[in-house]
Amino acid sequence: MENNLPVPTTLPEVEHLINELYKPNPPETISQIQEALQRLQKSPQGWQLAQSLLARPGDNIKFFGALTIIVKLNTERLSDDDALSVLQNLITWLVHSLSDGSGPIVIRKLCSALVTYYIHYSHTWSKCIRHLLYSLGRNAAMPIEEVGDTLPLEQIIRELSTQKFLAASWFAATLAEETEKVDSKSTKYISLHERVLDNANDVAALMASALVPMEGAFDVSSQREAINCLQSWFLYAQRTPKQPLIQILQALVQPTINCLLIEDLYETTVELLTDTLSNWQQFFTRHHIDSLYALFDSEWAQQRYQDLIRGDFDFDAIQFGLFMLAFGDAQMVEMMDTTDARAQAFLAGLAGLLTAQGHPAAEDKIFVPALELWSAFVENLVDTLYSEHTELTNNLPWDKPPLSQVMQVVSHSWQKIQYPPPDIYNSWDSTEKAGFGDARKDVADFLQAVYTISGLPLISLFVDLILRALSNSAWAELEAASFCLGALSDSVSEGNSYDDALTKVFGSSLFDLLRQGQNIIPVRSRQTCLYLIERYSEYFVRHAEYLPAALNLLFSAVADRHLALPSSKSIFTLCSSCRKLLTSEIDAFLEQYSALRNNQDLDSLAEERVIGAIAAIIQSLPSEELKLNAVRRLLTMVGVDVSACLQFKSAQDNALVNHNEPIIFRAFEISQRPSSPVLAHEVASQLAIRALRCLCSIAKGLQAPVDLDSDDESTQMGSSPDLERIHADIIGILVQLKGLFSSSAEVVDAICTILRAGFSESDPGPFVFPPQMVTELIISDWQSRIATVVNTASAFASSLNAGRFKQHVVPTLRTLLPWVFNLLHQLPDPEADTELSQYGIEFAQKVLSRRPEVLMSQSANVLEFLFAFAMKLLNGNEPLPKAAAAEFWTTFVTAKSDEPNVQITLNDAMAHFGPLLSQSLMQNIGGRASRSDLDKLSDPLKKLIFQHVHASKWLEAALNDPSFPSDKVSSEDKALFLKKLVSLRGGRPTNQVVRDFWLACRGSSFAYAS
Amino acid sequence: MSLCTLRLGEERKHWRKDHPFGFWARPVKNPQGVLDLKTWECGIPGKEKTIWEGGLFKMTMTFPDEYPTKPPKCKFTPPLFHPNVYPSGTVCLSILNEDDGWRPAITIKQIALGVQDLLDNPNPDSPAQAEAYNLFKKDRAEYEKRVKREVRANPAT
Repeated sequence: MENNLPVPTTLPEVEHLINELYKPNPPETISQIQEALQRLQKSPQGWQLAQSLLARPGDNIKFFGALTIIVKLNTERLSDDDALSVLQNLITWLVHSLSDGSGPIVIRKLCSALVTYYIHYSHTWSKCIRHLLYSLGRNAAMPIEEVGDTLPLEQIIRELSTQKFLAASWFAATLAEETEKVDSKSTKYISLHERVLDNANDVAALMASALVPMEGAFDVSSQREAINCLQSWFLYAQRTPKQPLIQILQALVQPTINCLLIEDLYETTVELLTDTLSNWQQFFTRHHIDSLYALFDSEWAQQRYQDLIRGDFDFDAIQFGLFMLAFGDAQMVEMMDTTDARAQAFLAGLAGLLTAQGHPAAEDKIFVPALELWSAFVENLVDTLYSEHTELTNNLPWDKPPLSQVMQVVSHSWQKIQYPPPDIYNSWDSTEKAGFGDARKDVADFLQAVYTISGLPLISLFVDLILRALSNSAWAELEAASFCLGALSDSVSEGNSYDDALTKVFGSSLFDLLRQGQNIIPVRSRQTCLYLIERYSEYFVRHAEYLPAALNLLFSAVADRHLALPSSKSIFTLCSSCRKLLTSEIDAFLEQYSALRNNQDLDSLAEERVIGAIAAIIQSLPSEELKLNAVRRLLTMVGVDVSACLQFKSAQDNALVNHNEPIIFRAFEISQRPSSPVLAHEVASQLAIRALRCLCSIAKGLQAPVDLDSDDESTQMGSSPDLERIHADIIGILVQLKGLFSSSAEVVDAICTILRAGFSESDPGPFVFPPQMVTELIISDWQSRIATVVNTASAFASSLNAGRFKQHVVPTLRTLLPWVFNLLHQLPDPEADTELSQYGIEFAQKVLSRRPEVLMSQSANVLEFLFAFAMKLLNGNEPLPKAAAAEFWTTFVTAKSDEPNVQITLNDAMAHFGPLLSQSLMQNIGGRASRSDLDKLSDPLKKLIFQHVHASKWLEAALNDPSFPSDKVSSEDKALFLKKLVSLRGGRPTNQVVRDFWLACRGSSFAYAS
Repeated sequence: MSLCTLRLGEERKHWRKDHPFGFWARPVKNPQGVLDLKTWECGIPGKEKTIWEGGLFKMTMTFPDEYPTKPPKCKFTPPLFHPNVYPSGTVCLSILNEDDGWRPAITIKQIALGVQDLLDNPNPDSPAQAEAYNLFKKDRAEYEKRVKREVRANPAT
């Protein structure tokens, strides 16, 4: 760096810099100062500097002195004698600092420096605690030799001032923290850990002196520090478990538990116990557990528990709740034992935690963690029940613990997730709302787990709660109970008893009440109840008698802005799965839709779902005549939009439409409605999109369902004049709208989706157009998204192979192929429109794979263009076309034909392109390709090696070509690579060989640092 | 129990204790009602203040027997319009690639957050579907229109 500060040369300069470091300076200045000081620390004068600084007044200066010692100890290796003199100095400074009014930051840093010393030179200071305590007691760095087993340690500790005790505790805590970070398995540090262990008894004696004070001399600050120190030692012991150490620490648990009752120590203590119970429950002995049970039984605990339940969610109160949960987690097995009375009593307390006042997450902060424990408890119960005695599941009594308590928790949770009145809910911030929503999902999870044990009774419980809420007009309860019942829909299996329970709900007054609109039941409850219908759509398939009521309800809700999307989704699900039951009602459905279209706020997505639902019913109608009639009625309604669209399009370019015209409401979604007059052409284009989307939904709705039974009763359509007329009408609409609007990507996408909907159909239908019609539309003029059209053409050509139109394959391909090649030919370069290139080459690949004779019968110059195009893509940088080209070449390498002429052309082409392909592959694998391309590029390579006798020769030439992109591999490497490839004969391990070679060609600097 | 199921049990515990807002994830149940720990369903919400806000997209995570040595496969059902999602719905993301960024220490929470982040930050270097990739590169307005349609069809509530 050019603007480095010069390294200070005098002590006052250094002190000045240190003081500047702690002042509010710009970040650049601070980093410059830091850099200068670090250079000084690392210089040979560093030791001297540290010594001088520690002798100066000022906490920052002393702190920096201690820091310098740490840097030195970590970076330089001293002889044992030199090291010991550093130790003596450190202790001397510590003793001085304790009496000269230095602040805690200095003392703590000196303790850290002592620990750093210990990590590097523990062999010179094995009894570190004992020696430090002895020196502190004597106010001087005492000779190490004087420290032995005969030292009256207890007396020394007893006589320590609070200041000295704190310093010793800090040292002891840091000792555990820092050595815990040192790898206990590294041979270099094995003896360090052994020495730490040797000091454990001394640490324990020090801690015990504060936790179990003699003569009632309580000192809260010492006790708090002792607990902090224990936390470090518990962690150390957990990470490097050694039985003697564990026993030493276990003896301190009871005194720690006692500290809970001291108000000033509660927070530190409860945190230590909670953490240890959560992370290391094996640490606690039987005796400790007894003692904790007694504690939770005490008046002190009961008081805290009651505070929490009454809605005190201060930090302390929540800590107590978490403490209980951690203990519960540690007592999971005992709590499952019905004969363990005290565990059952504790479990009851845990159930009670879910009754704390306030709404989950928003106010009640213990609900979510408590429910989490209960979920774990129920899952444990399930595991035990299933693994031990399966028959037990049905025999566990629901009126006795632990199941009675599980049911209590179910009941509490259901009450807790009821929404508050809107004014309260709206007063929450977004985090509280999201938290409440998440808590509801947690309850849903919990209920699913409970269901595994309970089955039907859980369903019946919520059914009864719904009915009770209905009779009491308790809408929040209705909402919550419906939510819970809905959550179980995935778990419920088919069966009469389940259906009987559900019938109580779906046959109740619920639907009637819901239909009466928002005046009766608030919108959120209605939403959840509608969702219940969708969740149980299978039920309605089995119980057609309730289907009309459900659908009437849903249709009435579609018009409601808040309910349009969920209700239309339910309509689609129900109509689609119950289509056969609804055919007789088709007129009613068409009328419902016709009425809906008059609704100005009808959401377009909701409309598409409704129209798709009706089309699904049409698909199931018993006669062709009925089907065509119904389709015609739908088309007539869509035709209204089309006519309006054409009318607006024929207006003058700058003609405006009043934004209050009813047609504006169909053209624009509520959220996008204009507030001033709009251009007629804009309205036209929006209407075109809406009409086409509706056609998409009809086309998809009319598709035969995937799980169509072979004895399907719906009549198949034959080719009839009526059907032909419908084909002509629909295509007419498509052609017209395409002609006017194909510069809109949305229009092109929609038209292609409509065409595609018919491709997969095996039977005739309104959207299964004759191949000539489709071909004609495809090859006509398009103003945008031509790639999408090519992709559609590709799907179309493939579909012909499978269906009734097999005889059309060849003529269709003969029309489509030149059209596609011509489009590719017009590209200034193959990567100018990567999507078009990709779909174009995919099309060619499919034809080559299925009908090589059709592709190879194209004229020589067309073929030459195509192969050269595919080669350019393979050499290019665009990943998707490159992958498509790799697949094209894979297909080409393996292409075979029964027709001798075609085979000859293929052979000729191979002779010509084999070397070029080899060249391209080797250039790519030699480093040009990206790593993610390699698997794709390995495919043609494998086939080439497996299929062609000359492959090895071609590849060798390519590897040794002067244009080979890498100079990081020798000709021996290349020869070895080729040898491996050939010997693998195109097998799967080729990919790895390719990856390794690519990496070698790129050089190791390209290796992923993972 | 295998390493795979042990780890997944732990992951389930962790997820229950601590999962990001608006996400959900849980193992599916097999027809007998028993949890299949190796197949999880989850919901990835669109981030606030992005075009994906308000959407919640369903994704399946399938864990191989070699998990956590090998990464899970993440697949949107139905397939999602996004440059780094294959037409099959499979997500293309470096941390989910065994040869690239996958490390056994990556948690389900990190995967879920990684996929959420990918929604609004597509990686143009590894396109997985042509349509979304090309619109993203060449016609951002149309791309955003399509994304908003996806969001409307997959609402969070």
